[in-house]
Amino acid sequence: MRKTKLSVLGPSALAVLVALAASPAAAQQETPNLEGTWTISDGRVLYWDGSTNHFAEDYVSFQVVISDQHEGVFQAAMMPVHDEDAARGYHGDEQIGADAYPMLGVIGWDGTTVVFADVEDTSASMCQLTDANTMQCIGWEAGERALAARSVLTRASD
Amino acid sequence: MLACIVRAVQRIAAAAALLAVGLPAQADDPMPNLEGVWIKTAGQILYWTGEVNTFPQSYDVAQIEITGQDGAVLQAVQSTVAREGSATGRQGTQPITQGGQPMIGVVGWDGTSVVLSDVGDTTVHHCTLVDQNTLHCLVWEAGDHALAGRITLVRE
Repeated sequence: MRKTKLSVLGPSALAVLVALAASPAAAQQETPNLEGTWTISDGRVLYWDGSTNHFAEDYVSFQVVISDQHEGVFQAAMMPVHDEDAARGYHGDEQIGADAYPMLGVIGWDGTTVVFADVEDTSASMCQLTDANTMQCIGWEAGERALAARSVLTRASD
Repeated sequence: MLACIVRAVQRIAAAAALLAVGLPAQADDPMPNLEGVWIKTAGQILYWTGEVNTFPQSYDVAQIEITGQDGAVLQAVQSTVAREGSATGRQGTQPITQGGQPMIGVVGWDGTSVVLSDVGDTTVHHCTLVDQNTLHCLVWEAGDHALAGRITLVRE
């Protein structure tokens, strides 16, 4: 019994601790492949005028397609389809319709942090990959068409 | 029996020391001095045009010099010279020239988070100090001249 207790901090456990100590949280990790179709499944967005959208109740669908990943960077397209009566934001000077809106993305050196930057608009999102097919994101845009959002993106697994 | 207890205490102390080494910097850690020339040694950057530049291959010069630090706040100058055939970013609406682009920055309360903001442009770098001479950065800009990238900066 006494031996069992001591084995908790035995050589193998110490080896694990050494490995942990040698791997700071921000150290370089493998870069996951994020290509595919992601669906926003949860969250909320607050617009500058006080109106809100809930994910996914206020949308017919809201997909983000990630493509053309090159090491840590990728292209993406956001494809929101709102319910008829739902509030909607702007993309540049145009109210969001049912188009595909381009974004650029990057995966951090930690292999879990993901940033999306809108093209032709000033919104951005920072996400954490919580498993291979789930990202939790916060998004923001400052300015006249300000917004603050959080969302969960889920990729359909094969 | 006593020898077993002593060995157990020694192992616990060793484990605690190892864990302490691996923990992120705490709020009462001394402020790191980041002044100096930091070279972009690895990474990629994707531009709104779809072009991808890689570090250091796409550049003759790619560095950030942190020229001054007052406590947690920083002044810096970014120098970027893309090789012929590589993509060229924008400073505001103008193509980047060989002159330095000014930046300001701040070190977070954890002593390891660093943000650098362009002056005259909307690009930001969000970085983590992984050792005293290495920064891992995410960089992005939304808008008409959007970009997204990740960069390793190593101090000369």
